[in-house]
Amino acid sequence: MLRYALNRLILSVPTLILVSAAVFLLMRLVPGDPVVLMLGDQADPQQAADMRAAMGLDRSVFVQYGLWLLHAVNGDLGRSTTNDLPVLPLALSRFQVTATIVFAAVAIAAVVAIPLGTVAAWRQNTKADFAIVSGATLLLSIPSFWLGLLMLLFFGLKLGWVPVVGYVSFSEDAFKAALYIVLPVATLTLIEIGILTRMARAAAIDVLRLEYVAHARAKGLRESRVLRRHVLPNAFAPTLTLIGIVLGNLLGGVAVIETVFTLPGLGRLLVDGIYARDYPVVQGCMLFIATIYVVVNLLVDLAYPFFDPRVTAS
Amino acid sequence: MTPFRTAALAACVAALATTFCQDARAQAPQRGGRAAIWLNADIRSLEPGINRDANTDGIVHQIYEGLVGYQTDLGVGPALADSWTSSEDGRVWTFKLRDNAVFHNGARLTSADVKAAWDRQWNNQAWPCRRIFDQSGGLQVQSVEAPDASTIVYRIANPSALFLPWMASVQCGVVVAHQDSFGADGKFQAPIGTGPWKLGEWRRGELVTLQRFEQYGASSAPASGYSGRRDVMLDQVIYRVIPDQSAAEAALQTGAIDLMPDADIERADALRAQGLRVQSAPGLSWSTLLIQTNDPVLKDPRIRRAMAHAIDLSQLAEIRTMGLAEPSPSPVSPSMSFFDESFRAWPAYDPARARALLREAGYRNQVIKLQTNRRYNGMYDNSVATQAMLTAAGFRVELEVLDWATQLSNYTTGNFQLQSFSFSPRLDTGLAFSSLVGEKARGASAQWENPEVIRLLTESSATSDMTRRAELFRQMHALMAQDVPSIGLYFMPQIVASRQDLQGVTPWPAGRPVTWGIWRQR
Repeated sequence: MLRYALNRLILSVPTLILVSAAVFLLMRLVPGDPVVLMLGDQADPQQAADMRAAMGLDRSVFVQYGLWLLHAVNGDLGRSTTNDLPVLPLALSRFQVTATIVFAAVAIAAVVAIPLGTVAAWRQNTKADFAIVSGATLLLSIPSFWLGLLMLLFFGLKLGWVPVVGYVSFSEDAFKAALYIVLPVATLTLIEIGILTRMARAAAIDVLRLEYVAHARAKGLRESRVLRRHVLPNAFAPTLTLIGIVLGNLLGGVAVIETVFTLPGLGRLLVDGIYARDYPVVQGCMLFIATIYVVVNLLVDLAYPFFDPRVTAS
Repeated sequence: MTPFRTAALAACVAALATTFCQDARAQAPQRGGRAAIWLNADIRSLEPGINRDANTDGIVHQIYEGLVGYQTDLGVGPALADSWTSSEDGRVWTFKLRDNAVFHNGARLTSADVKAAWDRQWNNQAWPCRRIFDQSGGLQVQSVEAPDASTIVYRIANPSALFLPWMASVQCGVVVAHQDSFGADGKFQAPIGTGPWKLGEWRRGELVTLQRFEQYGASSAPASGYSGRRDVMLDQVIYRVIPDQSAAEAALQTGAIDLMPDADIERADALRAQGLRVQSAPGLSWSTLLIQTNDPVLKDPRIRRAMAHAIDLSQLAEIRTMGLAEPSPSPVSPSMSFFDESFRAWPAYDPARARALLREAGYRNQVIKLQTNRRYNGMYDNSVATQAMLTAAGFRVELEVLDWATQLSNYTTGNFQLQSFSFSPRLDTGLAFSSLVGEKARGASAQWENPEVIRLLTESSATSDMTRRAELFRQMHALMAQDVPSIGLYFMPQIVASRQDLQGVTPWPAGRPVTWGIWRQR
């Protein structure tokens, strides 16, 4: 298992290098000059040129990339051109916020969606199935910013149950922190329930058609036991793959949710970095996000044999 | 009168008096409490003058003070300097510092601190305003001296009417940070100013908290904008970063923020209906349609004049500002002392005349790209409206929607045909014209390259005779109406929304909220 994990990690290095090169080149291809944004319309061309030289932006893209990669290998992702903070600690601190929300939302969504999808599959083509699938499709179709704003206006503004903006870390005040993340977690949970329910339903339908399920029923097992013992565990494995993809995707930043609820997460850092043409932040964040994808998918693959004994790490 | 009636009358009088006193107490400014102010994006830095933007300027000017500051009437008034004099030849400016200014670390302000602040900015490659003072813009600071602890002397190469406005400028005026704000390596460490607020906490991407500086020594001049006394009533001000406008409005309604300094004008009525106080003031942010006068199609003044005839400025200003602002084809704002009705003179709205000019110029229906962005809704809405008006007059205009960084980059490099743009507030008439006029070879962002206008602008900068300056500005505007190097639309009014219990909020043309004078009614 350890050997497999190490192999996977080593194999991910070229992926990360490719991702970093692509992001580096793409950022340079996007029009817009970070120096202009920093200096504003007061600066003269000579000063802008001096500043570009001071930031190393006057060198060739390949030299710039080489230097950046050299520093990145040593754990230095550069400093933000917007606020001069080192990128890695910045990304890590923002990641904590994103991770708190994403893990909570995906965990709750999985707990709700997997049984719901299994029930829908079990009652396929009935009213219950129709209701669950319709609900899931509806949740899936609602744009996250709109759902977030609705939640914010109803629970925050109309009912006044929770604060509408801001963030408090759990280390500071756990109760307050929970209050501040209720709405973003609920918004994200609802959307992910839509995605996971459909996947769990499809997986359960496949399993329900298999012979061992028919055999279990023929043995005279109760339906609840068939579902609990034979369908749910076997349908969970494919859903786990999707959970891995969803986690990787969301941990990379839920910029819209973070913007609506004013959360200082990784997604907002990245989006702000793109707007400000903050090259070190964008490059650093993208490398960080790519690493998260690799690690999450590796963990999912490592967890797979526990849920599906047919799959082994070897 | 029976004893009962007498007692009843006395009780009524007492009740009335109590009510009156309570009312009077409620109206009198009260010390204490805190207020939260909306920021649409985080600030960039707390190092004065370096890595700045409008949000950053707004907070920097709460913590630090400059020698002089802009007043609400856009005149220049005292701040750290109590008074100043200029030599007869206009080349030596002597500022006397107020004697009660104290830094947040307890050190008393001296002229050496002012000189050190100047030297540090001057020697910093990242200071974007260096060119203002190094002769590139016609003004050259030759030396700064501190002959005694309370006197600071600026020597400039040639007399300039722009010296004092630039010293007061929100963007480029040098504010004074204590030397301990910087480490031994010269790097900025912590903001130590003389302002009425000191930094409490800056949580990146979340909030900036300022605490009242109890030892603050206020100017004896009356409070006005960034000039004069800064009597702070609140204990704490929190600038809360909320990128989404709708979320910010919700925050204002729930009390998560108390003040929205730059509310959307289209939301003003809705905010008022929700029981919030909405105030407006004339603004200095000039919405314009920039024209690239080097462009093969647009270099013909007849085409540009046709554009001027094609755009109904009155209708545009009426719709976009909800009737709060008049059209302003000139960079001279009605808030400025030089303004008079001659600055409204402009080719009249006349689509037929526009078509005739197009025919005369041989316009062959070439596509003209109008760059705009959706980050600033006002610019986008202006571009849609002007596109429609230009199309109705026979132009073929296509919108090119870019992100703001790209559009700004194109503005500075001159890479556009038309741009829907908005200039950040220029508080002085000369500075307002300076943002348009110049040689494109020296700076591609210069919009208007006309030797006669450059001469007039240079002369207006050199003379301190206000009558002569007014005449020069009028001449420049008259030439602008002929050349049409860009089409000024209007000055966007300031819309400030606040909660009812926050008193003393006074919008002013510079736009950035002034926190002194604000108090919370309890």
